Amino acid sequence: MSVATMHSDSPQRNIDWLSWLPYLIGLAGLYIPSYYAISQTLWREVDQAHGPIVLMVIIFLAWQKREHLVLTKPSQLETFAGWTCLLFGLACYVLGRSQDILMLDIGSQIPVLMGVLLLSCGRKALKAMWFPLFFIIFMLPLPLASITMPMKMAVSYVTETILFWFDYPIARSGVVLQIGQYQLLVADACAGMHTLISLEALGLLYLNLVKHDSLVRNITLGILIIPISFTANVVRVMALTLITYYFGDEVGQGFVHGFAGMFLFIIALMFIMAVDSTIQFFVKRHKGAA
Amino acid sequence: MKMKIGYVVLMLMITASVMAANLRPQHKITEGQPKLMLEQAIPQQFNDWRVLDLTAQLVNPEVKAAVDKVYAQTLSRTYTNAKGDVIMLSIAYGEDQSDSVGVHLPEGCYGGQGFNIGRVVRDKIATESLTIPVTKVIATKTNRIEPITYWLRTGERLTYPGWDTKMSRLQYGLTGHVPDGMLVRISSLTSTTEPDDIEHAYAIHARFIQDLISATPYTKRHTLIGQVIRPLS
Repeated sequence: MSVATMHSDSPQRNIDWLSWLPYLIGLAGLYIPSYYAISQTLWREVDQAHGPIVLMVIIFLAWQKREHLVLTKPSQLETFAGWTCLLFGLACYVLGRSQDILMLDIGSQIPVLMGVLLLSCGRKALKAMWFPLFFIIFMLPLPLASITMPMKMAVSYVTETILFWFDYPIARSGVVLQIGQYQLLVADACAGMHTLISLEALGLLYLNLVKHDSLVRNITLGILIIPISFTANVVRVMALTLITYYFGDEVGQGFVHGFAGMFLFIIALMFIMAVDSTIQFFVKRHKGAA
Repeated sequence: MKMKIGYVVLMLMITASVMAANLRPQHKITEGQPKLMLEQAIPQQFNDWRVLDLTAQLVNPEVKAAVDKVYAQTLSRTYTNAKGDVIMLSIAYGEDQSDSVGVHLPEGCYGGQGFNIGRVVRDKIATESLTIPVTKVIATKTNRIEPITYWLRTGERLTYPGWDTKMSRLQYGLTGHVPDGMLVRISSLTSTTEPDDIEHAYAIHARFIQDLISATPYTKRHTLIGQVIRPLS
């Protein structure tokens, strides 16, 4: 922030950068190596490619709440809880970073940041920041293979059923779809947690941008994102299957396959907005009736 | 006061960064040892087993690329014996089994290729050298039924997959060592999922493993089963 803007703003709304400096230097020293490491390994894996998106959403959400970051003298309880969180987090960090346990390395950010917030700004700041902190969980390499497989099976099954109903020559064995002379494997990337988490992030970002005040509406939409992402996945797999059927393997696996990823997000976003408008309609009508 | 807390936090964070950097294990336990040659280490012929030449094996390029990325060396052979039993042996070896490039378990690999994975069972197979802690799982895909027996070697220990392997790796890591790792997988095809058929297949696996260990010279056995006589479990 430049000096000019600091003068133009009212003094209370300014961020006291000098007091924040030690925290920022400390956090940079801790986590720049961690993020460098995962950008070289984890984020390059297909099913973890949502990592950078989630990180950007976290930063955005935290930035939105920055006015809650007011430095105060912590109470005794806040001091105690703050040091406990910080020391626990740093212990996790040392173990995770040195032994390449990404879960602890990346996950340690939650207790470390909780500790920093409690010690610098107290529990009010922690309360304001709980959601971005919670969202860090989505960056962890969670053992999700057990969820990915049933999801792939379900997507393949629904695709087969619908296309079969439209009289296409389609058959399925596990997650392998056979249409005409072509065989398609529904890979992890097509229907994995990767898309689910990215879409959940997208949905939450949408909710944050439109700034709903209705809690019911937020929670309902948050839960509905799961079936929405499933439906969007089915639409995508179906589109790719039909493209392969009509235009051949090369078209289906080439540029179009990459483009289908974008297509998925657009479909999902449209679904989210449609569902949201519907919920809004019912909430309004309910209020009108009451 | 505010400033003071900030500087104490900064000191702690710097300490944590330096500790983490210094505690990273540096020494590969294979350092200084002759390079492992899987092809030569595993005998082609032993007891009544011999390698069956299957040149026309179907290779999924996507899977092969993924496997090559994780492992330093892989070996895939099919053996047969006088009775006509057929066994598929597959060994994957990596010099650096850190968390990011850990061994990929058959449960995941087969699942990823559209197989259904049955219940995962832990068992022990007694051999001439030591008792091997093995994991058994049945993979099925339409009419292909494939019982699998496999074990993991982490450094010089045999470990069950999951927590056991992670803890072993951590023990090595905290003393500054990076263990190598090996996954030895034995599988065969059966015609039905009847318990009798499956048990028969597993019995052949066990005999194959016992024969393989006995036939491997003492000096080379550690490649397959490490050097600890008592397996961790």
